[in-house]
Amino acid sequence: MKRNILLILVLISTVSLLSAAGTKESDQGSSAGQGTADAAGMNIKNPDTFVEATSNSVETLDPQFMLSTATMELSYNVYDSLLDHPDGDMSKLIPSIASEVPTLENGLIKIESDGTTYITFPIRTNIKFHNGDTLNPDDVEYTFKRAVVVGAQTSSLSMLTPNLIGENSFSDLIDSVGFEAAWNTLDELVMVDGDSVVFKLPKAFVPFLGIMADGGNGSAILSKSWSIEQGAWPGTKETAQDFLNITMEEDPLFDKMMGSGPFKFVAWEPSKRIVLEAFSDYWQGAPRIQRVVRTIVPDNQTALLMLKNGDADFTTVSVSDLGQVEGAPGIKVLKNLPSTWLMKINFVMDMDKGSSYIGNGTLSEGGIPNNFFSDINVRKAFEYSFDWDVFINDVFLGAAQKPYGPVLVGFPTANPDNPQYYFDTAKAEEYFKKAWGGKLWDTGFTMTAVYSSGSTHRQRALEILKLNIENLNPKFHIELASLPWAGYVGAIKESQLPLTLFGILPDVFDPYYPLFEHMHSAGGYAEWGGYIDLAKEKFDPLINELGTNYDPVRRKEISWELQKMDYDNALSIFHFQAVEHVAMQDYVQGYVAGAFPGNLDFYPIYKENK
Amino acid sequence: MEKLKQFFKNPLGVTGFILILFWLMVALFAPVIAPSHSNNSPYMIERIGFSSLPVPPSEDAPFGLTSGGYNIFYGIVWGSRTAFRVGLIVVSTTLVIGVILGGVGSFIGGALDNIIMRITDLVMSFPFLIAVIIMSIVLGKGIDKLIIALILFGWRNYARVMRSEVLSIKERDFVSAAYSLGMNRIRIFLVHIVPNSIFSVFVLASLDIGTMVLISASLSFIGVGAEPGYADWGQMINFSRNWLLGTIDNPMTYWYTYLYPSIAIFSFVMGWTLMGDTLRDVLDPKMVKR
Amino acid sequence: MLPVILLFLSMLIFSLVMFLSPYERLAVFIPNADAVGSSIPFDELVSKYGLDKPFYVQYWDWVQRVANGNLGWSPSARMPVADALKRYFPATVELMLVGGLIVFLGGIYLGTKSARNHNKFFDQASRVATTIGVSLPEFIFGLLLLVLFYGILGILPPGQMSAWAEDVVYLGSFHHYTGFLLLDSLLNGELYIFWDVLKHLILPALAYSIGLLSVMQRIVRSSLLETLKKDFVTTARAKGLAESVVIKKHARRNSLLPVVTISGSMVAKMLGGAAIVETVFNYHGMGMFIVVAAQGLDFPAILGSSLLIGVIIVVTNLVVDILYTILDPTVTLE
Repeated sequence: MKRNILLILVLISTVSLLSAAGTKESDQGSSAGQGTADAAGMNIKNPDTFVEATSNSVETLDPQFMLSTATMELSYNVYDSLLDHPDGDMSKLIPSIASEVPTLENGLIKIESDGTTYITFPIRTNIKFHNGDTLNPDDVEYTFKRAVVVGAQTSSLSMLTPNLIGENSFSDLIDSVGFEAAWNTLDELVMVDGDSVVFKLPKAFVPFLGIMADGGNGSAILSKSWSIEQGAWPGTKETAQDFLNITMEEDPLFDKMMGSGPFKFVAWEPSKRIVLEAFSDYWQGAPRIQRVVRTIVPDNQTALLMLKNGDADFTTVSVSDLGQVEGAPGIKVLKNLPSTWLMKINFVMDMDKGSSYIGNGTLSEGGIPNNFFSDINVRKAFEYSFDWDVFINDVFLGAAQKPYGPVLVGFPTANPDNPQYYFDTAKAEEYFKKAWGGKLWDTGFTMTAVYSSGSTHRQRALEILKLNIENLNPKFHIELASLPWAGYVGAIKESQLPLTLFGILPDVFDPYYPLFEHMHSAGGYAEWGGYIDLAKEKFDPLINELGTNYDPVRRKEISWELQKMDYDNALSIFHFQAVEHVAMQDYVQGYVAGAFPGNLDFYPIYKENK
Repeated sequence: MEKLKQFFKNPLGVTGFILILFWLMVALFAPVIAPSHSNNSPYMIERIGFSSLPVPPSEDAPFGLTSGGYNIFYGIVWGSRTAFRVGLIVVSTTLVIGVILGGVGSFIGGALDNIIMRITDLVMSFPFLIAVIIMSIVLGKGIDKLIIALILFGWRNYARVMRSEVLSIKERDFVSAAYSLGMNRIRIFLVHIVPNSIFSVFVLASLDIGTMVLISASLSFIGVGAEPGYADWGQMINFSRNWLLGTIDNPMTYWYTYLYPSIAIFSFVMGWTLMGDTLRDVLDPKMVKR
Repeated sequence: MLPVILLFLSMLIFSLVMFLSPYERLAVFIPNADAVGSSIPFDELVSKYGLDKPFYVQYWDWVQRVANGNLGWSPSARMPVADALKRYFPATVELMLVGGLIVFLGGIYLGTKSARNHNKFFDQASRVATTIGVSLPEFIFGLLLLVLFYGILGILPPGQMSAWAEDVVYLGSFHHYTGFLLLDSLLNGELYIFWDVLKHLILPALAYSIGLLSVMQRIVRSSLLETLKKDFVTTARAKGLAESVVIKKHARRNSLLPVVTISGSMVAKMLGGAAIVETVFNYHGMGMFIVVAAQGLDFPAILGSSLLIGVIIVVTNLVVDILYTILDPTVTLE
């Protein structure tokens, strides 16, 4: 008995000792100092450090290779681009590294009679890099030439490249015209002219300016000398071919960043956290917050506990977790922030014949033919079978919007009056009865709809479709299955799945972007959906014109026409555009929701009790 | 018969038996207690609506609905079938495999023992999670794939434990005595070795049956295992993860999402453990009654 | 023996590659997030990383690289596999040490006491208590611990160490002599960091050792009960020795055999890390690393960690076998 009591006493004292020891040192050891009691009385933890908790890990620090939107938050704050957007307003462009926004009116954009377009960016002379060097036009020239040579993968750059050099990649260009000619094209692409940089495009490309303002994502300006020092392409013709298509491990800029933005890169502990420090010589003035820590917390429950304890200052909150933070003392929650993320259920019109998700592969109750969705009646029937109300209100608890079509809500030329599909069982039945020459209704069908494991919104969307369609006709069967991410991606690429749930996340606030991805033959979805021929015939000419014509009236016309054509062809079910909630400490000021509310602009943020 | 009477005299054993009997009845009468109204397999939990927020108990759903509209009562009832199926199939198979491989190998010794042990090492080193994840990519998800994976990787414990027991038993005096009396090896193995070395194995087995459900919970956490919506207690516990902390005003807001599955799992595991312990006590020939 | 096993193991794992298409295998280069559009450069990635080369070519490449000491690059960890192992393995070992201590000391203590009080109150009570411990899934138990000690009491936070400690360890002049934080912090003379790391180990270790503790307790109890009935024990009692002496000097040793066995497999289990506990507590160890690698089909990482674990398990089993002979002199091994 005595031994037991002793044991318990020892345990309790050890635990208390340990917890005490920890907190004591943190007062002494932390450079930023611990709590500061403000006049208003509330204790601000780490007043000079801003801690963001997120579950998104970083795949690379090289801004020209970032694929995930969440990672772009970093390049946005560490690098600058030629242009920018005023905080929170994606529709306007303001000068950044360039001292003026080129337009047709101010003559900085010149279009020749054969279509060749010259865009001139006058570069400021007072911008410093974090290592003290002054930014000059050579850096801009180097940045974009390097992007082309190494085969930059960010979505905006991969959309830009063909419009710069006429081929999807530099190696493709070399294959078609030989290295000499390819190099010449590249050389003339970007040229330094005094204090300006001039881009030469084969023809006008309207989204170009938007891409230059994507906030340091794909168009972050690198320092030429620093990059070369790190082992990146030396910028010369002789070495170009050694740097084509480098891999992640070969990329010297994979784990470092050095830009001209308001924050300096300090350290990256992969899968754990990234630390940034304020750059006092930032050309727009030093930021107020001294230090930023972006820490990765894989479990959302843990992240919320950290927020409530003050160990994290900011985190995004999923719809289901709202109840845990709303009303929590010291925490403010911002709800229903629009996000530029459009999700759609895509029909695959031409599947692999050996797919295991089409039942017996024939038009019978036990399967579907591999070109099941090539019949527009089937597609329309599915469109009328999706219940947006239930999805948005019950599944998303109201935190989503029904899209108008391929151009996102809030984008220029988005048409709220575009004809849309809506939930209507009568219409669904009507179209099913017309499908496949009227045979489908009597025959019935079976197919398997697949979602990626853990992706609840995909799962629910398919469950809703299944419920409504199976209710129409007892011979209609939709099985559901889930695949781990790798399996899901692989199956999509191999055209195994009848329905794919993937969306559009534009970096650029221009209707060209979503329309290109969704409807152009080279946009990606045409290949996945099996409608490349249709695209080439009907959509490409319009989309190409949208890309080259600066006239806003004509652009609106084209955009509206394309949105209607999407409706007429029922290419996908646009089931939602996301809306996000975020939560932060009451004393965090200066947060402005951008295109993606979870991606922060750290520059205006500071901590103060108000 | 004598043994049975002994078993039932032990209060813990009886408790365990009653618990298991209860769940057995629930499992057998599942279609009556919680009838299925849709054309899908009855093992897919019935759903009422798609609400992302759990819905408190009501007349239609006496235990409430968890996120996604899954009827908790239905899930618990049919989940008992899954618990028995997975638990019994996996444990009995792995027990037999393990006892044979471990026992025979160590009994015969020499090269056979070595080979079997190396194979066991191999299986032990093969990362279980990776195998399950890859299996679900290639073969798809599902309870049967889970059972296969659990069997493939579950026998090594039994093999090792059996082996250690056999190694020590086979040198005992009574075994040498049996040899000198001219008993043949097979008889010695079956009559003397196995009954004496099997206790630790039984202890393991009794706990294992219950814990199969928990492994399923862990695998659901990672995203593999049973299909989402399958009546599996482990999965249901995993569903409740986001609701443990409730809301700011009331941490117990969603108590029904985790309380019912927890009670189910706990009572199931408890039942088997108590039965297992008592059986062990009863079957041991040297048990001295106190 | 060891190299043969490793070779077989690696071949087995690698052969899983055959079941998967190159596209499935490149998913590890594509972040799993909804924030990815259709502009994924599939084919470029496939050719860049040689994912479409035949199986035996890829395997042979890998074997050659390993023979040269290069375990390859892990896209899911964003660093060479060897570096990832050096980072995450020590973290798991430290977790294992603390967890192991809890399991052994707790298990042996409780098991012994249960056996001595066979079927009396302590026995029943501890059996119920350990069953509760076993029937709670780890993440629920972990989350509850976190809520209690962090959410409410605020004394034991998640993560491997506090933010200020991380700054010192990764950004300061801290020398990583061994990779083991506990050891390194002592070697660097940073006592406060040592305490901080230890503090962060408690909850995760508790969360994932509860289940094993229960198993250990039962095995010890069962085995001790066995041994207590043996003749040599009766003899010792007949000689008039005190009960505690009987147990400590005579019974325990012999009852430890199955304990040793189970410990062997527990090492294996702990080595794979407790992915779930690590996720809940944001503790970066082998568990999280392996799960992320497996989900992404990051083969270099999978192979690398499997090799490491394979080596350790074989060694552990050897140690276990040797312990058998020490504990029970009648056991002979070939």
